[in-house]
Formats: sequence, structure tokens, C-alpha cells
Amino acid sequence: MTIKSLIKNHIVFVDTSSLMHPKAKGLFLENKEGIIGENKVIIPVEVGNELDKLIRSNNPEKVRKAQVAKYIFDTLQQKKLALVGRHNGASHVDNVLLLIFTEFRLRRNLCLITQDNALANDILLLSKNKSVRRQKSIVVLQLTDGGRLQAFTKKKHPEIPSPVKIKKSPFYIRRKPQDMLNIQKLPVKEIPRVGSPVYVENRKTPIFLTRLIYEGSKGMIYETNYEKYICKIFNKKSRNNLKYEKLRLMTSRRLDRRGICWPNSLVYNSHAEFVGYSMPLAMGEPIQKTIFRKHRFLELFPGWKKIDLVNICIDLLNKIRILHEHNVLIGDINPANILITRDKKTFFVDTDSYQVADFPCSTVTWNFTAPEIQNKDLKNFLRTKEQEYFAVATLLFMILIPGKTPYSHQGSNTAKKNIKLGSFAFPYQLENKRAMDTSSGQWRFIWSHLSYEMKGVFYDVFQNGKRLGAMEWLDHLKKYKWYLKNGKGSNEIYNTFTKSSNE
Amino acid sequence: MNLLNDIEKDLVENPTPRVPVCLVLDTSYSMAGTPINELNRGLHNFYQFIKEDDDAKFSVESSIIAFGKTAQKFLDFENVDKQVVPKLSVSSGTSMGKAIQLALDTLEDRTKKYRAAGVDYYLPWIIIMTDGMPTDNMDSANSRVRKMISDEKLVCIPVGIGPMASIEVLDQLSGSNKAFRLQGLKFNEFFNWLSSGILNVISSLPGESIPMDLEGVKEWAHN
Repeated sequence: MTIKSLIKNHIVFVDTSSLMHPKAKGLFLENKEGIIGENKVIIPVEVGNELDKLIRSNNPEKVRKAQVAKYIFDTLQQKKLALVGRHNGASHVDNVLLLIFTEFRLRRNLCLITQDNALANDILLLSKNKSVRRQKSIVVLQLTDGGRLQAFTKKKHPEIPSPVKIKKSPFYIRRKPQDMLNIQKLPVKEIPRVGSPVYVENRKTPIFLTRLIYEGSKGMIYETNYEKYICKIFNKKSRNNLKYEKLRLMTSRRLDRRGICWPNSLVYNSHAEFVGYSMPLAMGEPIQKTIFRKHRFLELFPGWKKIDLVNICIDLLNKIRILHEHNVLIGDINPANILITRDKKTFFVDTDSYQVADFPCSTVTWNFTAPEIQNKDLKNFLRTKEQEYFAVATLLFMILIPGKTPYSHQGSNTAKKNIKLGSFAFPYQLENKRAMDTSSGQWRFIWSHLSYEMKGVFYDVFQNGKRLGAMEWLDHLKKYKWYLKNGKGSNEIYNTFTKSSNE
Repeated sequence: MNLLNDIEKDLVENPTPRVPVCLVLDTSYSMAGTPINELNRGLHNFYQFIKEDDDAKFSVESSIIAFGKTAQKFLDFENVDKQVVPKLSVSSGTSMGKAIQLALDTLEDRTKKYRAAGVDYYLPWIIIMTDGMPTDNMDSANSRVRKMISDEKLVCIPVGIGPMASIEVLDQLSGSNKAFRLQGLKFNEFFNWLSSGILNVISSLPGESIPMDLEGVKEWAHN
């Protein structure tokens, strides 16, 4: 498509930077590209305001360029070659253009002539949004030094910038939790919704909430026009000073490595009020709904072998190791908040609930809670790494014996009791060590096929109360991986018979 | 005898934790006409919902005990896909005591099989719906239900239908909570609430305490 026919088929917008380009007069008034008259161009009224401001500035070079630009602006308007449009949603030109493009991209073909790379990138990101179907064309054009129009192409996927100071040191370990009596709700004028602009730190133009992907009791999670980032927006009840302080602390460390969906910036509404945070987009399906549900697991991950589950364990242990090195505890290890992908990677979500410094993790999944804290009020309690090790062991067990808890849960709603009793439900024979309350059926078959070493480690943890850190588990699992890789034991996930030998 | 040999294939091949739900339903004469039709419609929709939900259909097992002149088991616990929802009809009498006993016996048989197969299960639910007064003795049924509730082995949801339902009798079966009284004939709304409560349970792990959605009760029960 030629530039001329492209202009004819699109609604064309022009920003301040294009009118201030040295070749702008040739393009807009002398019609050197032959585009004027093909279609009216639209210039936001804010461009005129911005030029007026620049004319009043102290920078002579800027004043001169702004005067020429204002002349072009006025002439186009007088000759009715341009429409000067008004949009009530914002006052800054870039924001106005972003709002207009977000609003009209489903209905009209849109084109922007700009020299501003950041704005060009943001506009093009709108056209890349996969969640929006049947979207019309979005094109960005730039003026070359020779005065020609050419398509702008995005060079690099932009990232949400880091907050001002990123620290590398681990978080402090505190003994006393924040006093929950100090919680104060924060007033808010507006909770952003789909289509709303929101602001992250260190960036003057907004990002946009493009699609609601999750609605929870504390807030909503939205996709944004930055396809790799999502935003959690708290509802009115969940915005409080402690949440704000905790997230400020969390965003001071860059733990948002692939797979840990760690908050990377606080998010504000257009009144500069804290409303949530941004984080990397997660992929995959929750462990709770895949590995723990045989029918769905076989459907979603056909062909997986035991070694694939071991790889999942290794991947998640590597992430837990990073978190623990920074003195971050997941706190409530919940299989609904760990996602897995077909390429055997894990994603940790809901990380704002993690225990950081003196901010406790206020949620609890009793199946993953160490026996010594089963009766505690964990909302106002700082857990220790040793207590987290019990949760990690439970998670590993439930991945390798897919969906089965180490302690029997048949009918009672008190996981607390079963864990406190500490009666591990699987047999292990060595030096007369044998579990009394043996689980039956398929579980027993699967358990029997674990390596002798893995059975021993699980027995020590769940029967004898031993606790292992992420590094120790990694050692055991790497050995187990080697064992499976070299055909030393069954690589099936759902065994249908008991292993004959003791090993 | 190896109990495993007697267990149906589904329990061996599908290790998903189960939530047993037992529906104990009044089919006495006073339910004739619109009430029984609405109850049948609600039941049909409930089973339809469970069968169509990817998680529920592998987790939920349901039985139906109806009571009129006598207590009768219309559906025994098994995978919902295999179940054909019966169309309930009315008869004289309100043998609620017998029906509850039969429901608890059926539940015990099933949980025995879960244990033999090594299948974990969530706290069983028993739903009792009546529009009148029992015509048989309730003492044993009451004490069995209360014991299971206090041992944290049962969730019991008694629901009175219409103004003649004896809420006092139902209160005896509800542990620390009060029995509910259905608004008009909102069976469908009740079964919708029940379905979403069950979904909440199965999205957790067995052994976790999942609070009942008391806010949602307002959709179908009087305050």
C-alpha cells in the first residue's frame, strides 16, 4: 500500500513533534507527499496549547520551531485541511492520543504521524494486543530527514521501567510483624477499569488496562497494552496503608525473573492515587487443576513422564531458592498459585501475599502448614524458613505422587489434626522404619516406584520431622532425575502395580 | 476378601478427591403439583451443571433418597456421568427419620470404599428438604447426624419448604447453624447455590475448611 492510499484509508492524527519537524512545512503546507486533501488530518487541541507553551519558553531554538509549527497548525485549520479535535479524558497530548487510539481501534483504521519513538511504540503496542479480536489497522508514520513519510517499526519490546532505586541486598528478617491495628484504608476517587489509563513509576505516559483476566475478592487483574505485563488493581476495601508500604518495599528489589511474577512497579490512577501494581504476565495452568487432577492432567499434558514432574520440581525449587536467598517466604504455599507450562516451567503468582520483612503472609492452606504452627493465628504471624521447608516438602510430594497429600484426608475437614498427628501414610522399610497408616490403591503403587532415596527423604520429613532447604532438595531431585534418565526405575507417572524389588 | 476387587473401576482409575453429596428429599402428598415439578426441575439442572463442569464431574458423587410413605434410594453414589436423574413422584406419609438413616448408611458404605481405594474425600454433604413434619421417629437419625457434625465428619443443610415445614425439627439436624426456609419454590436458586458451594470445595484441597456462602443463601432462603 502506498503512503497516499494508506492516508486515504485511515483517520490521520498528527502530534506536536511532527509539526515541529524541519520538513513539516513541506509535508503539510506544500503537500510534497501529496497527502493533504486526500483525507483531513486531525490535530488534538492540546497540540496548539503545547505549542503556545513552547513559544513562551526560554529556549530560543524551541521557540523558533514552535512558532513555525504553530503557523502550520493555524494554516491547516484556516484552510479546513485539518480538524482540531478535543478529548475530555486527558490534558497531555500523548495521553489524549493513546486514549483516542484505545477507544477507536475496533471501529476505524487509525494512523499517527509522530517523531516520538516512545509514543510510537505505545501506539503500536495497542495493535499487538492479542486479547482484542477484529481490531482495525493501526499505522504509525514518521517524517524522514528528507521530508518523506515512512512507516515506523518497533525495534525492541519496551519494558516497564524499574522504580528509582533498586537494591540488591536481601530483605531484613524481622521478628515482630507489623501491627495490624495500624491499618488504615486509603481514600480513592477512581478505581481504574478496562480502557482506563494507569501510571507506573518512572514513566510519564500511561499504560492502558485492556482486558479483565481475573476477578478476585481483593481486586481485579488486567492485561495491559504492554503485552508482557499485567496489573492488579485493588478494590476500594483492599487498599490500605500497609498494602502500599509492603508493595513499595517489594518493588525495591528486582525479583521479577522469568517465572516469579513479582511486583515491578506501583500503579496509580489519573489522580495519582495508589491503586495496585504491575507485574510480569504468567503463563500456564495451576498445579491444583492439572497435576492434582488426573483427568485434566492427562488431557493437557499428554505424554508426560515422571522425569517431567521431576523437572517441574527442580524448576520451582530454583525459584524458591532465589526467594529464600532474599529472605522472602511464600508463606502460604498454595498449588492454585503455582502454574505450570508445557515446556516444564513454573510461574509463581499472587506474590503480593508473600512474607517480606515484617509484613506477614495472611493467608493459609492448612495442608501445607507445619505441625508446630497448625494452631497459630497466621494472619499476624511471621513464619520461619524451617516452617516453609515443611510446605515445600509437601508440595514436592504432591507433585511426585500426583495430587496425594502425605497425610490421609478422608472425610474430616481438619487437616490440622492429621498433620499434628504426623502419621505419614506411606510405607518405607529400612531398619524397621515403616509407616503404620498405609494409604491404599494406586497411591501405594506410585509410591513404591519412587527411588529408595526419595522414599527415605520423604519418610524422614513426614514421619521424623526433618526439614530440608531448597538446595538439599535440589540435590536429591537431581539424583532422582539421573536415576530416571538412566532407566534405574519406572518413568511412569501412574503406576498400576507395586514395584517387586525393594529398590 | 480383598475389598479392592469389589470397587468399581472408576474409584481405582480416577484418584481425584471426591465430595459425596446426599440429597434427602420429601415426596409426601403435600408436595404434589407445582412443588414436586419445581423440585424435579431444580434436580435436573443441578445434575446437568455437575455433568458439564470439567472438575465437578470427576469429583462430585451424589445419591438421592426420597421419602413419602417409605424411604427409597433412587440413586446410589457413583460418577455422575453414569447417573440418570429420576423423576420424583409423590406418595403418602413423611418417613424422614428412616430416610436420614438410609442416607447415612449409604454414605458410610461409600466412604468405606473410598478408604479401601485410597481415594481422599472432602467433608460429605447431606441436604434434607421437607415441607412438613416427619411421621416416623427421628431420635436415632438426629443423634447420628449431630454426632457426625460434632466430629467434623458431615455438613448438614436442612431446608424447610413452605410455611408448614417444621423448622424446629430441622434445626435439630443443623448443628450450630439454623435450618433454612426456602423462599416460595426457589428450588432452582437453591441448587445453583449448592453447585457453586460444591465448586468452592473442590477447588480447595481435602482437609481445608471452606466457609459456607451465607451471603448467597439470601437468594433462595428467608432471613
